[in-house]
Amino acid sequence: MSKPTGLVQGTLDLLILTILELEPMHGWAIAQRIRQMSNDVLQVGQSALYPALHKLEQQGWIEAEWKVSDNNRRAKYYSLTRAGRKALAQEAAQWQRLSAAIALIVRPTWET
Amino acid sequence: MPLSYSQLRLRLRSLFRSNRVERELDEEMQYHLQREIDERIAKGLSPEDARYAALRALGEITQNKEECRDMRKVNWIEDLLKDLHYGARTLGKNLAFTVVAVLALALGIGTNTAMFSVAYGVLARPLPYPDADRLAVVHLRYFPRDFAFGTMCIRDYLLWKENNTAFEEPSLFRGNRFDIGGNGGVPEQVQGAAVTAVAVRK
Repeated sequence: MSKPTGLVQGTLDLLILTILELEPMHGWAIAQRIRQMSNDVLQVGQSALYPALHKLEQQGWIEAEWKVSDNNRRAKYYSLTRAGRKALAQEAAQWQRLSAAIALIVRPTWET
Repeated sequence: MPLSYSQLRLRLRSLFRSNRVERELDEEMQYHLQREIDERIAKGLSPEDARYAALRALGEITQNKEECRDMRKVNWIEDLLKDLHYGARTLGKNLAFTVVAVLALALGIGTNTAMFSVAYGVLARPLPYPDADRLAVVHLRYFPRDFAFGTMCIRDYLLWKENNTAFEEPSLFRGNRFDIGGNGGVPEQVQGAAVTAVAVRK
C-alpha cells in the first residue's frame, strides 16, 4: 500500500473522521475500511495514515484507547470526540460544496 | 485555538511519559505490521515471505514513526533539549575553543554591564526625592550667543516667583564643593548645593 496518489490534502482527515463516526477502530482497520468502501481505489499506507491519526488526536478530534482487538492482541482504538463530531459535520459540508462545485465545471465529455 | 483539557494531557504525557508514548507508538506500528503479515499468510504466503512482503509494502517504518512524532507538538522541546545536549558535548570535546569562547563572552558581558551601570547612574537613575519627575531646572538663556547663564540675580528670581503659574515651589540653588574634615580624620571634598529653604521637602 502506498499513499493514495492525487488525494486532496486534508481529505484523508475527512475519510478517517467519517469512518470513525461508525465505531471506534484501530489504524489497520481504518485503512482496510477505506480500501473496501472505495472499491480498492483509495489505498492508505502506514506512512500517511498514522501521522494523520496522531495529528487528529493532538487536535482533540479523536481520542485513543488501548483495547484487545479481534485477533486477541492489544491495539490502539481511535474514536471521535465531541469536537471531532462537530469538525466532521463542518468538513463534510465543506467537501460536499467543493465537490459539487468541481462537478459543475468538470463534466463528462459526452455532455459537452 | 485554546488547548482543551485532553489536549493538554496529551502534550504533558508526550513530554513527561515519553518512554511510554514511544513504546505505544512502537506497539501500534508493530500491530499494523502483524496484521499485514497475517493477511498475506492468509493469502497463502509462507510466514517468512509474508513478513518480507509486508515490510516492503509499509516502507520505512522509522520514517513513519518520526512523522508521527512530529505531530506531537512538543517535539520542539525535545529537539531543543537534544540540541543543548549535543552543543554541550561538542563544547566539552573542544576545550580550547570553549575556553576562548567563554572568556570572550565573559569579557563582553562584563564590559557591557560596566558601561550600562555608568550610563544608568549618569543618565537614567531617578533623583532620590519623592516625585523626582516633577522637579525641573529652569535656566536663563542668553540668546545672541545662546548659552545658559550660570547665575541669576535675586530680583529676577523674585519677579519670576511672583508671576509663576507653572511651578509649585520655585527656589534657587547653587552648586558647591564643601570640605569636610575634623576629628583627626582625612578631610574630604564633597559635592553639595546651597538651596533656598523650600527646595527639598520630604
